[in-house]
Amino acid sequence: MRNAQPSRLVQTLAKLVTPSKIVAVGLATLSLSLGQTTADNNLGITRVEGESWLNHLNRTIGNSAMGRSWSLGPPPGQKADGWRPRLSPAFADRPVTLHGSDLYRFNCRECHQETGQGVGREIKPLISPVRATSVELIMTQMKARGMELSRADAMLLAQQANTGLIQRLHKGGKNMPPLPQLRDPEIRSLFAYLRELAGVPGAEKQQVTYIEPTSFHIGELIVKSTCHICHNAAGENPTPQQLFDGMIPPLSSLTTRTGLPAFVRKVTKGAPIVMGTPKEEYRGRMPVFYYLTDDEVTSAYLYLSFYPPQS
Amino acid sequence: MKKDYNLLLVRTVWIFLALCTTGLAGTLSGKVSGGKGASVVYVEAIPGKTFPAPAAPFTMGQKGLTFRPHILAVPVGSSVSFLNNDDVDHNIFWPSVGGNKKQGHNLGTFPAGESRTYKYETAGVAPLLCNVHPEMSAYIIVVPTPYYVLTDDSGSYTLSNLPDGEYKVSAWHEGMKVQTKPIAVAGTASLDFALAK
Repeated sequence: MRNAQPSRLVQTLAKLVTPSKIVAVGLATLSLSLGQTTADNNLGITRVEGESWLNHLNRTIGNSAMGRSWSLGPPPGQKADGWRPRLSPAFADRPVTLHGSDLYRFNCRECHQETGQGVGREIKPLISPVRATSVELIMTQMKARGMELSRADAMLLAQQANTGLIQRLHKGGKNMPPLPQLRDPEIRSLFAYLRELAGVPGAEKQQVTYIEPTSFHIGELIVKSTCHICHNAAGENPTPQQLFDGMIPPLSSLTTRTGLPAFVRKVTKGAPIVMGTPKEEYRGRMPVFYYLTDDEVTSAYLYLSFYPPQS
Repeated sequence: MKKDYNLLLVRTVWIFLALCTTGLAGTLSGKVSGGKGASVVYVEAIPGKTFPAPAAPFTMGQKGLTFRPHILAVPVGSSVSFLNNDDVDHNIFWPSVGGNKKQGHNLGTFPAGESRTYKYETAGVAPLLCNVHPEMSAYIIVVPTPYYVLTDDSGSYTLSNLPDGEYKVSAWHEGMKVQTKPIAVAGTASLDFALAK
């Protein structure tokens, strides 16, 4: 029944436009739906679905470095004291200009960390594969080894590294999830930032910004690339004892269990969780995503509300 | 007349080969010093002698962001199968073989579980590199004869089943200059190498 929400929105929008425009919108939707069957609308935003990546790997959060930002919330006992998220209307109703560094925060940072070095053997550094895409770095490196390489050979190597990196984003790897939610202009912007992060000479001057027409897509990226690493899309809401035993609540229950302020606080600041028998407040296992803004987390909440997760 | 000449040649080769086989008894041993870890000791090309390439390919793996083994010696004409048994993509290339850039080759980037095969037709050292992981390196030593051996970590080696005779033997070690020495093998012989950068 939750499926009714987006279509109601479409109906409301339809009432606001003239009949001739409705035909045009209808045709546009039809042509898009032919090519993109999973898309819910002409923005190309889709629901989050299926099991979490941790489940896919058959791991728990305890025995994986994945999905952990290594910072936990405050100890139990802290009160919310009427805390409200700080929101700017401009974020919700105007196109948002994104930098490659923003795309990195939404999609990569959770696992690869702020520096791109990853964690241990499980989450590999992304620095070397990115440096491998630079012709200049390849040539310098080979010269330092006493084996000079022609520019043409270096260019071929750089091009192969670039293709490999794009493939990895699209298809994922053994431990890394694929990221089909990233669009081509976003990948270009993200790659420009990855090059800066990896110390490719001159990369800081080649940053590409990307204008995101709707904050729903920002929510989609955060949910699919970050939250969905640990949280299943849909399922039963766990009991306090199941939570205590390590069960992770599904994304589908987050918006029904918590209101917007509590959701934003939990994600950006951390908040105690009630679990166990008898029920008690605990610090919980969920990492704090202090690097996401209140606006961005709100967009994740709205995305989960308008595009309800499905199993 | 021409046919008789060919027959004579074939017979000569047969006799020569038969003599070689009877002489397959020599053993050369010694020590390579100057560098840490294993070196490769091999007999240089023997004028007038050719050897069939081994039928089975050798394997160079990649696991845990390293090439395994670090040093692989193969006779000229051998095929090497490069198996990516790691969990990330690797790219494999060598800028030259024996310093000859024309023999450089790029196998490309290929994912975990896949392999590529390459046949080394000329003798020399191919320094293996992975462009994705510049910390990775290995060496394929393409040797001209089937008489070669990898020393132990202390540099000691024994080359057995050598034909008796006079030839040149070389020692290679990572980062060192190759040293070549003449030797006469009759039964057993010994030869030491002291390598320098």
